[in-house]
Amino acid sequence: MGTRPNAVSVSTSTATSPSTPLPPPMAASIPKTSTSTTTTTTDATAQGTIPVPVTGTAQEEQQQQQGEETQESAESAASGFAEFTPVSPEQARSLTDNPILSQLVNTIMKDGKKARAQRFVADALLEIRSRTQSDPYHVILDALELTSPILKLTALKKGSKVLQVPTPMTERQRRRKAIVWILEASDKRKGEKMFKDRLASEFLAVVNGNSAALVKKNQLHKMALANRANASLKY
Amino acid sequence: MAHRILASTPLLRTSLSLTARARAVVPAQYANYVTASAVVMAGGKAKKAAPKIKAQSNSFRKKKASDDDKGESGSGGATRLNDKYYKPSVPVKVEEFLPSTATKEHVGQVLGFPTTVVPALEQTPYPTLLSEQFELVKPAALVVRESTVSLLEKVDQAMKTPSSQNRIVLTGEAGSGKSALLLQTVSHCLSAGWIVIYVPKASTWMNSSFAYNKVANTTSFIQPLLASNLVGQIQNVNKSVLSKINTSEDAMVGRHEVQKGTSLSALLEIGVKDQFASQDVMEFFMKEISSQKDIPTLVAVDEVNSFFRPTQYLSQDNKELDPEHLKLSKLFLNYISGKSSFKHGAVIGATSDTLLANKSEVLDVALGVKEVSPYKRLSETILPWTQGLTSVEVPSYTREEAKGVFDYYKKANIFFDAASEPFFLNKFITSNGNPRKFFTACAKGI
Repeated sequence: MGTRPNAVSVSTSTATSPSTPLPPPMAASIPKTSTSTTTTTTDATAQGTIPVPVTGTAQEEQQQQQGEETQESAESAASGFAEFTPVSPEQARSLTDNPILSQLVNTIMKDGKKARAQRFVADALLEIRSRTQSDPYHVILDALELTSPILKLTALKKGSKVLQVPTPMTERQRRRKAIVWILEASDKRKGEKMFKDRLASEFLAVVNGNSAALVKKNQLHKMALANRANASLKY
Repeated sequence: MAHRILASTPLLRTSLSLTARARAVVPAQYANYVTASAVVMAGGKAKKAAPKIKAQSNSFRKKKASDDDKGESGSGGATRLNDKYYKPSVPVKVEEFLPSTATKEHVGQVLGFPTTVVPALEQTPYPTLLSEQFELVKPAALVVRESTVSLLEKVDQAMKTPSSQNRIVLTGEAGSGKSALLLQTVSHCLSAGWIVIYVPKASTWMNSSFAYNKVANTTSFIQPLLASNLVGQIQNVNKSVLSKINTSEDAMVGRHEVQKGTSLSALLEIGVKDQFASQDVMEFFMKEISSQKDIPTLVAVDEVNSFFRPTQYLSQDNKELDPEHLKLSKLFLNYISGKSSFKHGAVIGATSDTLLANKSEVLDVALGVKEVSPYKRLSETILPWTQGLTSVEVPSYTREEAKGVFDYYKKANIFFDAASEPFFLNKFITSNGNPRKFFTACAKGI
């Protein structure tokens, strides 16, 4: 016939088909996330992981998710940053499943000590809650949004001069920059011995408008504005 | 003449410069003569100084963001706090934990300490890890558990029986709620009008944090300051009850004479003011309340395992002292072991796993909590004190109790996720119902 010599032929004989049915494809078991998603490239890997429902049936979860979806999308609309990374309501504050919190944990982690880093973040969240009596997750989202720069300056050599070219950053890169600046600023805090206290104070300082991390972001933006002419150069 | 003086050997030997030496030679009456050039120079200096000061006061000094780095609000409240996030703390409305509400119907409900009892409870600090929870979740409230109801039934029976028959030790795994249960018992007895002696941290009595003196011609030691503190605490907690009881005989406490018929709170005052009389005050006080029948007494000791192991005090031979060598501890040991007894009352202790160094193997073996090889030598001096203690095991939360606590945590805004059944089950199962781990799981998510 018109088939090519190496074409895979689908045969219905019992010898080739498995006796037990194959598990459903991965995409079907990912719970539906909020509808207000934009095209995201960086969080494709986060979406690819299967969040394991600990108890209860999948149906129950989905129903609850849809019920809480509207609530969560309303909540996430309040902080613009959350719209970049769609998070299902059940995973919202989980240190392992939430992409933002897990990036924060990973940035704090040293020598592979993840549990220690998770403890730090959990304690800092609790500290923020005890100081403000409000949801610490939103405080952190807001703080990260405020300190994340929108572009970085890449050094480009043209002739003998080194030109600073403003280049865009992905969401994850932006967030990482914000986290690193906040961590550096928190290390300079004097008078607070425990890391969780310093970190909580720094997040709150950002949200109150007086943090060294904000200063760095504004400086970077100023420099980018000054060098905006270089943006049109090829690289 | 001046050059001869300048060249003279005493001045030459000094390390002064030529101008300094010249100034040294000048007679006193000419020393303060002000020349015209000096005036002009001073004016120039003043001109240089003035603009600096002027610049600092008149120039506009921009407030930098990095200046207000201290704290989240900045120094001197210079910056505002973000109103979006800072909210006032609103305590959760809970019913009161009274003898009438601590019943089977209320198992699983979180009830707060009654307002009449809270000032008495605040005389002593709460157990450490519980106090952290109370600071976070206001007001201080504990859930009514099945073990609460059963223990309070036993305590109510103890109202008419001598304390030597009611000696209970609460045991269980770490974080299972022993101290909380003890707190509930203390609150219950305070509401019911008992005399309550509550010791939240018995380990501080034995860890050599208080000064100790040897009593002459004995092997015992007294801790004056500790006894004085304890006496003051008992008086503050039981003020109204103790002012109605009077001493039945004359006594000599330290250097003070106590007449028959003085109220017990006046007796305790002596111990508060004179710490070296406080041990005698304590012993006389315990004798008096154990001999009267009208008002039952509760002795509640947390970290009771520190009574059954060597203390951190040293004798003169550099050997560790046992609790029976400390007079105050021995007084309490008599009641815990049943050697002395209140006519009506109970002695309840709770073990603590907080400090591993304080664990008492002897107590664990005597209560049947732990089994050791029969060849293992247990301390023969401490073992006799453990006879006759009944062990009450405090289990983990049942699902009903955990649900009640979970609802309370949600109302107190300790977590902000939706309080769904799968979420609750997640926390309950991963913590295995252990109350402390359940709190950590809800509050921190780990």
